[in-house]
Amino acid sequence: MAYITNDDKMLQAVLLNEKLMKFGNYTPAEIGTIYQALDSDNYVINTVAQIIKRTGEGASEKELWKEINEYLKRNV
Amino acid sequence: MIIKEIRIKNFRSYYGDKNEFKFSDGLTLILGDNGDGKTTLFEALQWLFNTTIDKGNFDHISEMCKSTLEIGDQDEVSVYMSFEHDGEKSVEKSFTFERTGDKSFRLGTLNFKGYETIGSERVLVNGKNLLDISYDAFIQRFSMFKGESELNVFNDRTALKQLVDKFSDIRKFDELVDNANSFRDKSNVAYLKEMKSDDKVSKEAKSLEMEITHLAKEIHQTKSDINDKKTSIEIFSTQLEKLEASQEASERYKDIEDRRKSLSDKKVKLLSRIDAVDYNHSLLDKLWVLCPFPSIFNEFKQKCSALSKEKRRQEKDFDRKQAEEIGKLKAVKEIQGTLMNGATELPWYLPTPEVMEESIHDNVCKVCGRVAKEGSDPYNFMVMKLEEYKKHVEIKLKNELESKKIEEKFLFKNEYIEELHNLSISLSGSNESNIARIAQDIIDRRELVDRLTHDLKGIEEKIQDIMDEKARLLIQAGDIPESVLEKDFNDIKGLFNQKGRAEVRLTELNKELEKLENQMKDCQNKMDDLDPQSSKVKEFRNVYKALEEIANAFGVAQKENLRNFLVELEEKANYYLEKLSVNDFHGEIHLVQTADESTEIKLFSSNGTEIKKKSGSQETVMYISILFAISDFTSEKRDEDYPLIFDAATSSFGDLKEDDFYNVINTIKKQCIIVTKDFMTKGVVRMDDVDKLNCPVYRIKKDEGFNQSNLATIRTTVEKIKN
Repeated sequence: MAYITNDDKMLQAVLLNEKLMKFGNYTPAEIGTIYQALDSDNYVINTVAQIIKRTGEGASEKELWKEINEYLKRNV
Repeated sequence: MIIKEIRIKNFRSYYGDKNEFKFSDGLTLILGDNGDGKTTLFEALQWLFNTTIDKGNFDHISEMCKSTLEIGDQDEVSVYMSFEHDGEKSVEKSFTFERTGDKSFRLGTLNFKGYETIGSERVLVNGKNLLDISYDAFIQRFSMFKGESELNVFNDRTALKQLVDKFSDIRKFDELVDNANSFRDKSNVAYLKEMKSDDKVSKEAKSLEMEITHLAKEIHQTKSDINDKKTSIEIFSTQLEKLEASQEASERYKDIEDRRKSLSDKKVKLLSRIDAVDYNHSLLDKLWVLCPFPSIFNEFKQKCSALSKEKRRQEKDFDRKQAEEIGKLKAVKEIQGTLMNGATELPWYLPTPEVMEESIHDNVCKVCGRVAKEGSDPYNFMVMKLEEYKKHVEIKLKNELESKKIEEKFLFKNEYIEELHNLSISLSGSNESNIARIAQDIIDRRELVDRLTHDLKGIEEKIQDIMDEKARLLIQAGDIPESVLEKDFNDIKGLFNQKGRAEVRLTELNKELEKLENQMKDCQNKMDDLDPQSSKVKEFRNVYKALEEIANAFGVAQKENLRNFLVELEEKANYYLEKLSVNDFHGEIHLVQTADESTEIKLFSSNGTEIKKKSGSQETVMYISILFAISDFTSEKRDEDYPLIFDAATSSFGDLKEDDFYNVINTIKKQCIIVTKDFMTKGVVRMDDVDKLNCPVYRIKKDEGFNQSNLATIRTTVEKIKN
């Protein structure tokens, strides 16, 4: 069994939310690892992955807000 | 980290450098009675593990060691530990000290050395860094426990959050949730701002935003009120539960307190009676000088009487002998008279010497008138008669002198015995009886004080027994404070009413919240239904909607994560609870989240009934099970082991519980170091019970010959009594 990182676990814990899956129109199979999620075309999966990854990397809230906001504006 | 060895040098009562403990990977027991150095050992370890200390401390220096130093002499305090943590390592914290005067010492700098084995080489490293890596403060917090009261780690409200952060499946959720919520709020602000600037819907949007802002404030306030009420209800419930659970304990407490007060009153009365006994100066004088007078005087009287009697007896004998001697003299004269001539003659004194001398001179016997010429027989007879007379007179004179001499002899020349006898007589009577009365008075007072002191001692022992009983009760009552036990059970009624009112208010608040949230939803729907002219507004709205859903999902995931962690902790804790309670009822541990995001540890029967009246040992085993469960997390999540070190954690255990408990702990693959006074009765180790254990056992004790009032005479010795 592949080693699951803390980021992967967080990603799955958030994205496996029924309401969010319905809103984002994705299935559990599409979630994958954090790196797969960062490449996902699904903006919900991608946004959640960005929040987890960049927060873990120590990005500031302001910095991350800018990135997330821009990304969502382009992709929603 | 597995501790291999601890060496303590000159740390308080651990004088010298012979204080060594070697530990097994499982259980190691260290037995010691009160004052034998158990807590000092624990504190020596705490001192070693505290990496924030950078100075030596006078209080840590062995007083015995200090007392042996001359001015200019130096020694050191050190605690050394070797351990296994990714290879063999050791740390040693030490500082030197020097005597500079009679009562003054100078401390040297603190050294904190570490050694680790790299390859085949032993390398010196910074001890502080090595310890921070191997046994950090977080782990220490869940590893070292002093007394039973510290065992419930969740008494600290921050503990759960820290444990979740460290050991839950998903760590560091808080920051993510904060960021997601912040992004949601920012996107909402941006969205509303765009709406308000849209020509087509601006007016309506502003009005709706005002309403939404107002509702948001009300919802926030209502949620805050709800939270407050929930907290109040929890507090009331907890207090009620405690009061209910403590009813029996409370009754026992009151009974104990009544008995204690009654005995304390008796003690005060006895003390006042003892104080009332007159111990003034006069009494002391009499006490020392005259108390033995009656007995000594009695002996004196007897001796005087005996001496007097003996004197009289000797005097009588003496008088008798004297009379005999005088009589003998008289008897000699009688014998001489009868031996003069066979014929009857005149007594020796007839005729008188004058008649005889005249008859001789005149040659005529003046008695018979016959002529007696010189040389004739009659003449010679008269001459002889005169000589005999003279001889008689001479003998008589001599006898009289001898008689006089005999009569003048005394057996006792002085009157001392009479004087003593007179003294004896003069001291008798009222003098004697007065002194005897005072002496008896003193004896009576002393006997009274002795009796009262004896009674006082008995009462003090009973009070001590009651205090011990009270201490045991408080341990059994667990976290129920003494103030709660003091309260009357009638307080329940007031608390119950308060809780009832809070519950009614909570229901009202929940309804208000529901209403406000519906209103909010309506407003938001109305806002969403607005059809702005600008496509940018729609874009902002979509961003907000996405971030709102994402933020909610983060929040849900965080709660779910916490719940999963508690379930896992619960499972592990129950596994250990069952193991540690082999022959006892153990129940099930439930970890219940509270409104303030902490956790309460509860014990339930398998039929769902909460066990509120837990015994002290049940509670201790329950908390230790949770600590083992937490320890499991470090093994699993961090791939690290650490020791569990307990100082007097099993005070509420009975003798019967001890053997089973320790033997089970020894089978659990965790390093446990337990410092305890179990297995001891009146300061003596019960070796029969110790022999039933399967773990190494050390005995620490005060070295013999110490002076209770002099710290410099107290020294803890360490002995391994079982391998």
